[in-house]
Amino acid sequence: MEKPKIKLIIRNIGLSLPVIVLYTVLILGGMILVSIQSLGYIPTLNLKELSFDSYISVIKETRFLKGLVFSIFLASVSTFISIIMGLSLARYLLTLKGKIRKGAWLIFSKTMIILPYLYVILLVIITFSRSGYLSRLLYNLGIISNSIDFPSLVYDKFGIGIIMVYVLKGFPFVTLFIFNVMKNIPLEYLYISASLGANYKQAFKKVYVPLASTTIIWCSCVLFAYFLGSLEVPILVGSLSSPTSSSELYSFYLSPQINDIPKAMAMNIMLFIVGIICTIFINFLLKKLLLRRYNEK
Amino acid sequence: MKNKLRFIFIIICFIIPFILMTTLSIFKQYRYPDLLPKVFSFDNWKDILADQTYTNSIIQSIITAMGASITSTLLGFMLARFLTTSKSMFSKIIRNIYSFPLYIPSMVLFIGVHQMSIYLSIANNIYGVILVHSLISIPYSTNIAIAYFEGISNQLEAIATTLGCNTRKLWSFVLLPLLKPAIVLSLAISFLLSFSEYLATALIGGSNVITLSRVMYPLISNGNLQKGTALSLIFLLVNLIIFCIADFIVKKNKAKGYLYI
Repeated sequence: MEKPKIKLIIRNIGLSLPVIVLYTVLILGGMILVSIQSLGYIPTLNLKELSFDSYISVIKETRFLKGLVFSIFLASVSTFISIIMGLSLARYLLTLKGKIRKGAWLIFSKTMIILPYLYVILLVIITFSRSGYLSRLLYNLGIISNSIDFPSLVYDKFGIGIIMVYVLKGFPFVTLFIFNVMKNIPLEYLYISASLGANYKQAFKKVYVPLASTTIIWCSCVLFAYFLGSLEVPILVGSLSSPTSSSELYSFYLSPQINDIPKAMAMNIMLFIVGIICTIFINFLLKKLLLRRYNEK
Repeated sequence: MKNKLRFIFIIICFIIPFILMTTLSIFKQYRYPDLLPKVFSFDNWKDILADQTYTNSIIQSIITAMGASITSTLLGFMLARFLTTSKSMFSKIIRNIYSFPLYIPSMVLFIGVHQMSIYLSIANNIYGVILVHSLISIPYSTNIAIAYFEGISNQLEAIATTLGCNTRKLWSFVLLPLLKPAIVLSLAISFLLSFSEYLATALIGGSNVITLSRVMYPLISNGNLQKGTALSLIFLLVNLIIFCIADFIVKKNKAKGYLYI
């Protein structure tokens, strides 16, 4: 299928141009606008001096930095738990055979994947909050005598509620992608490792996980970035006393005070840089961890 | 036996929350120590169906999500076609950066996009929202499309061309039928992503685009859980219908066995 070269080039440009334009204009352009505004240059508001004041004041106030540390903590813990849970569910699904496997996969993918975030938030509130279902159950069983005796799992300082929502949404995502890769790994690998003396657990660890490692790494990077920047979850199930970086950023962004706008933009840039650094770090760490076993042998 | 028990346990864990949500939406007066609500009533549902804000928001969500899914599928498939057929340096670079929107924290992404959309004056209308929603689903669409394009062997295209297919016939008789499941999957996933997006809609849509997640958000934050459950069931129902349709089409295609090698 030889085509003239110029025609081919035009076709390639035509195919890729829309997405490239969309990305450059909206994402790159947006980031450039934000970074200019973070330096304090907003002509429409009569702010025309370039300076790093907004960055310095954000760092000095430390509230945002605390939020950032808290966000990173929440995101990494929930990514970790989601990956572990997703992997173990995928491992369990792989042991099933024939119709049961199909059925389990069908129910799983039908129910968990389509749940929207707001639904999961509602579910966590209804089940785990102090007046939630679990607390009522314990009260009726006579284990607690008042709703205050129930540990506060939602709206708490440590973000347990947030982690629960993230994990409930995150682990099906991980399973979906990992199981899709793992079920296509030929069974011969399993037989070979079995004949070499590996049980199922070892085979999973040393054959399946390294072979699916790119997907695992991709999943964890995407989940981490999403959890770091998610807004509605920390606002709806988080506590007011320990805001995450994104809720802090949002309140500054919507603030009517003009001085807050460069600050919000500075926070935005800082969150962006931290997010990218963390994602790259996770990428390297997981590559080391997952492929170490593979390289040793 | 043990496996079966575990299987049943997992299914129960999935189903109980749904039952709980449904019961909450059709009862009222859910006071603290009661395990289940006492008074049976359809008030929540009546309120929701009578209130135009909710019905309008459902329609608007569906329109937005459809627009976003069509846009992202189209663009994603175009990009994937380019990435799988070209081996130039440029395509390698694009292959590494097309999923970039997923690696940026969404808050950062949407504030940047919001600034830009004000600048381009596409903020506060439904087209801007559709464009921004498709921005997040393009990586997924492209991923799906790449997987399917790579599954179609080059020889198939070569055979079709030697047998006298021009480009239009190649697409309509060979490629599109083969890609149908991918297209349906991509449409469904982009629909779901756009349907449950809150932040992008709130920022870019302003007061003009009120989707279902935007009317649900204040209900949850005000603690109006019963109306919230009813709305979230509608939410779920729409998602379920979309997924069932997608599944049905994919299955039907597979059963025909048309061109599957």
